[in-house]
Amino acid sequence: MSTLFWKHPGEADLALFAGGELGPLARWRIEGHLHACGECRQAVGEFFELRSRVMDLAELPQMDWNGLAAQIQRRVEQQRRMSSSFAPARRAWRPAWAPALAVLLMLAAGAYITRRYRAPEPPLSGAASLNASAGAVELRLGDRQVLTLTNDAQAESQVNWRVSAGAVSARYLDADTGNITVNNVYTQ
Amino acid sequence: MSIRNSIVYVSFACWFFAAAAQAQLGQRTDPASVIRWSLGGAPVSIVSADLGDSRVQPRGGAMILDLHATLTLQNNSSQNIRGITLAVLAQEMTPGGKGSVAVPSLNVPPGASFPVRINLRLLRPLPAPAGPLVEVSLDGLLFADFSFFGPNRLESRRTMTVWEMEARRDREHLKTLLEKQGPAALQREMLASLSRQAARPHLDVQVERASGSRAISAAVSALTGRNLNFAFLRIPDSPLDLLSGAAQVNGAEAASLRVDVANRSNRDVRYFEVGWIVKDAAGEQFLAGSLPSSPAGLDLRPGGSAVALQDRAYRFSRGPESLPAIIGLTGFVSQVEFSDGAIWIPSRKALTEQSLLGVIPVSAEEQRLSQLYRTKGLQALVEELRKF
Repeated sequence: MSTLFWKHPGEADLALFAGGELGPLARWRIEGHLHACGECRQAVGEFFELRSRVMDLAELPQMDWNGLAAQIQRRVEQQRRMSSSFAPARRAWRPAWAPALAVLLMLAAGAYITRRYRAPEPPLSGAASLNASAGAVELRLGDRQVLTLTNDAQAESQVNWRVSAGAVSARYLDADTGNITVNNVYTQ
Repeated sequence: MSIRNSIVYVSFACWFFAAAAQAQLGQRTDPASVIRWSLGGAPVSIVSADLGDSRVQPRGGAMILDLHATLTLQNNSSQNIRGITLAVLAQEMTPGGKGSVAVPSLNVPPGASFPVRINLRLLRPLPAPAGPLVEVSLDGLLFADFSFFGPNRLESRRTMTVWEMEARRDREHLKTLLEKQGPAALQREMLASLSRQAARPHLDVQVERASGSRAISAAVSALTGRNLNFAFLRIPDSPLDLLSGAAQVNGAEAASLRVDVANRSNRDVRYFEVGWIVKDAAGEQFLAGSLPSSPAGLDLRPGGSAVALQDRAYRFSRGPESLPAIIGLTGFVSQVEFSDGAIWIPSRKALTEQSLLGVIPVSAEEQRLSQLYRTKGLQALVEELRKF
């Protein structure tokens, strides 16, 4: 194995590899490592399995939901009847899940706050002005470029601008199409 | 489950949710989803719309659309297309703010396709409204017989008709040279044209209202600037006489232009433009702009007079350098539209006699033909002229 592939990839990288989310270089490096490392191969396999389960959740199979509900109801009744002896309850909470849940809650809260309370951009304001140069014609509001039409000319000498009432235009020979093209911007 | 494994699973879950969110955002920022193409039953159809490396990206509190599109259109009419204008409209962008891309000097036969290139950068404040950020629609199509199709909201009919008339005027001039004096004369003319194009000063210009938010600078300009009167070039067959005119000049800035005209033809005039040439302190002259008739809906009877006014300030520069001070203004009638839709433009002879050829830009057609000569040679130019 090349020295490049000696080091074990992190589990996050393996998870991303399983999801097909790595760039070509990182994917190549991990593939090289997996050829020689059974432990990592197994981890990737588990991630694949987890991913496929998550994907499967998106497509629920056709089922007899009423029948299923009745079956669940029957089992609950059976459990109640059989629970005269107090068997130790299965542990439903694992402390290791706490940081995971906290991170997810923080992400969700952050996303909600960002979306709900993001300050809207102030409306474009300021004096409207038109600019013409060899490179482009543009409409500005205050100091902000609002609309720019770029002249794709081969040479500056091939650009002719023209100014009229509330409009500027630039005529040039388009380098791609070979056509004369005229870009205009207007304020009214 | 160890804490380490827990973190890995959380990472995996985050990746899963992030991928889903990215997919949703990606759908919104797909350039194709924010542009609407609208040809409105025109006798041209879209063959393809290649968006190349166009992209939509949020930046700060705004969304920026970088559009680099090549639209391929097909002529479905029975006539040759001579020109097309596409309007570029961004909803609620700014009152009246819009753009257009026009392609003059075309000769597209029925059934043939032609490209239109659009290079555009548009800034929209967030949150962006639902629907497309920008609409590209047809404003006008001009055919070989001067017939027109389109809503003409940008007055593209008149503009494209002027271009086509200039094209015919300049092709006729070149064909006459070829017929009467031979290919060598045509070659000399093309070399002279390329030389004129290269020698024209290439400046930047900024245009804004002369009043309003610039009230203070306008007041300063009024104190430090001076009133400069126009000199006029008399074009013999012009339907209009230029009577008087002036502008407020301060350094390399001109504002508040005014020109009085009289109709000396026997036809009603509904629109005209006065070209104005600036001479700077270094002795250089250039066409600064075009002063259109005002107001819209002009009805200038024979013998009547009108005034062209423009409440705007023009600031000229050469890149970061400011230009030498303006010391002279010259005006000439550059186009007239009569009430029946007929249009007058100066003849080639008049442009030569008034020494305007070296000052005003060459026509779109002369630019196209001179570039054809430069890139493909004299024979290709001769063959092109024979197509018309």
